[in-house]
Parts: sequence; C-alpha cells; structure tokens
Amino acid sequence: MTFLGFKLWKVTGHSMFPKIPQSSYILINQWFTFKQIKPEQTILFKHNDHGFIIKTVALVDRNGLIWCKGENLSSLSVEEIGPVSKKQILGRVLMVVVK
Amino acid sequence: MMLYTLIETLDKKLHFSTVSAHCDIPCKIYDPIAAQIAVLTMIRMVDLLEELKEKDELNFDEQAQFSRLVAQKELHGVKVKEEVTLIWSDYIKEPQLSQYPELNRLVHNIMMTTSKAKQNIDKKISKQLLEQVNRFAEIFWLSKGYQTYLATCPYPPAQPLIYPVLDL
Repeated sequence: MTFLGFKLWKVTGHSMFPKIPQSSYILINQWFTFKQIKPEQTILFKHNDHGFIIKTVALVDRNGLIWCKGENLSSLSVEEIGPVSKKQILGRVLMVVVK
Repeated sequence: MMLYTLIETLDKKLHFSTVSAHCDIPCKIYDPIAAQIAVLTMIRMVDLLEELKEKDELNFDEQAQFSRLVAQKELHGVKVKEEVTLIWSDYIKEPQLSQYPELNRLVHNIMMTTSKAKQNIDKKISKQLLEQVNRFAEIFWLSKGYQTYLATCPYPPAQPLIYPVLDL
C-alpha cells in the first residue's frame, strides 16, 4: 500500500542490526530517490540475486553507481552486494520503528 | 513501542511487503567456544612470551619465535572480537537483551579488554578477558535453556572455562 510515495515495509534478517533490528518496520519514500544519494543513507533496492534488500550506502562512485554495506559482520560485503544503479532503488528509509 | 504495536496490528490486516536485511546465510550455528578458545590461545601466547622474557638475550631462532607468538596473540584477539560480534549481531535479539540487560555493556567491555590484551603482554588482562568471555558464554547457553558448569580446560593454559551441560 503506497500513499504519496510513502510505503511501510517489514524487515527480516539481521545484517542491519543494531541500526535496524529484525522485525522492525521501516517507512520509505520512493520520491526521495530523486534527491542525491549519499553515504550513510539507508536505501531499499531490488538486488538481482537477493530480491528486495535494505543496506547502508557506503559510497557513490564517479559513474554514479551506489555501493552498499550492512551494519555488522554477518552482512554480505560491499563487494558481494556489488554496484547498484539508481534505477534499482525503491526508496530511502525515512523512519525505523523498532519493537 | 505503541507505534510499533499499531503498525503491527495494521500489518496483520494489510500484510505489508517484507524486505530482507540479508546476511550470508542464517545458518543458526552459534557457539561461544570459538571465542573462548581464542582467549585461551591469547593467554597461552602470553605464558610463552613470559618464558622468553626471562632470557637476557634472544638468539636468532628465539627472535623468530617471539614474532610468531606476538602475531598469534594479535590474530586470536581479532578472532575473539569476530566470534563475539557474530553471536551478538546474529543470535542475540530483543528477548535475550531484555532477559540479560548487561549484554550490550558486556560485549562492549569484551571489545575493549581484547584491545588491551592485544596491546599488552599481561596475563592479568588476558585472564580478565577470559572472565568476560566466560560470562558471555554462560549467558548464551542459559538463554538457550542449557545449564552450564565451570571446569579447568584439560590442556595449557589450564584456565577455567564455561561449558554447557548437554543432553546425551
């Protein structure tokens, strides 16, 4: 259910702990992706192998590709996730509601 | 908390989409023994380094041995941090944190004591680290419903270690 670009998602998995613990709800807005993506923002995107995932932006390279990381050692590494293009991004995480 | 309950209620009706904070594989294989053994290795390295310290001068081979001992102490310090962090991030969740409120502070203390144990050749600090990691292991096993016992490990450096009481 999307309203004015806002959408709530439920988080599964632990790679974003402690920033976003498992079972948290996140509010994302797809319109916010028109703004510049910067390191340390948390984004939701469609990964070719892993489906919809959330990660923290590590860096944006000179080609405009976005490289993402998890928040702890259990996460896939930046290299394993690979570059993400802006087209794959569904939104930026604006709010996290934890249990 | 109230907001979470409200959203959770909405979720039950509307079924929000799920997104994965993907980790490698949630394999569920967790055991603090790897961290405990890494601390024991650090203590053993300190013991062997202390033996070298007693000599007035180190010959060529002993210098090589000194380098190896220090390197292993460093390596196992990194391992302690990795193994404890892994359990903390992947296994420990809200129920364990509520049940054992000391957990976050304990993990942070383990990280700091590990750094100290890496920086110094000091048995007292390494043993303090073992006490903290043993407490972490104790909480881990209790949270899984296993009782624990303290026994001296049957090999050098012969230090007290927390073991789980497992069913046959």
